[in-house]
Amino acid sequence: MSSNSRFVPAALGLALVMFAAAPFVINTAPYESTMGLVQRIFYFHFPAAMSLFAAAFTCGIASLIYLRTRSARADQIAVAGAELAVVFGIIVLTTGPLWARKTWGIWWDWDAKLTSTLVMWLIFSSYLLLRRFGGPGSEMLSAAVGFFGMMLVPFVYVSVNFWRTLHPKTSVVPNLPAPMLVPALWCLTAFLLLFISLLLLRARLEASRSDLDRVALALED
Amino acid sequence: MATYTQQPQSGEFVPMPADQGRENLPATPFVFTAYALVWIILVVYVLSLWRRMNRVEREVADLSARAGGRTP
Repeated sequence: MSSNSRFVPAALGLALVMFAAAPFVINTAPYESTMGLVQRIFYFHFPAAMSLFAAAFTCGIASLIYLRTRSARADQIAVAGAELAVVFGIIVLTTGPLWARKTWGIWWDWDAKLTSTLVMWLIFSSYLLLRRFGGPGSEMLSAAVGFFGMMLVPFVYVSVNFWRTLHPKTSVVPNLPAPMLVPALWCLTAFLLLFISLLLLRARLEASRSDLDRVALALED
Repeated sequence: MATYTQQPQSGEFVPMPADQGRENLPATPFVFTAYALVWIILVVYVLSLWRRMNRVEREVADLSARAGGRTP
């Protein structure tokens, strides 16, 4: 049994336990003074956004490596990163409006932060559509798409500091008081553990598909 | 530490004005929906990943057997 196949179940199990315990850990945090209870959506929204960024970076860097080396392993990791960017993006783009509806009184605002996050999610969705329907050679084009998707991450992150927006600024997380920081870090660890284990699983699936193609070609010969 | 002031004992129930009621959305359904959505999205994705992995590994095993027991 490889270290990879031992790590994935262990990481998934630990993430599951941490997710199950998350409501109890979050319950130890005090209510935020102006938003009250609904601010607790932050403890899922923020780690999901960090996982989205991690997935986007993984896809972008692996795509860049693929474009330079044509490494099949890099391509498999890029596909895994893109798919996870879409999954975590869905979490960010659904929990955000729930928080916004109560706090801002609206579900959505076409400001720089929200719009650029949606655009980034659409880019990684395009990556997956290209891989699914692009036919032979779509690996190169999708790698370029993945790289440009990654380039959006810094823009999405700092956009709240440069444009007028309803979204909280990036200074919120570094300045969290300890009782709010502990549950935030707890949830962040759970999400990142889940991200790493799902990334390895999804890359393994892509490797198995390559094996399948190779065996099918060998049978044809 | 939060401090709470005791409400005066009420002798009657006063309905909240309609416009104020619209403003005061209860937060609990939003928090619970967000938490449930996180679980649903992640469980659906893990199940889909598991199903796809099983299918591909079964196909690899079938093809390998047909190819004369050669493993890729």
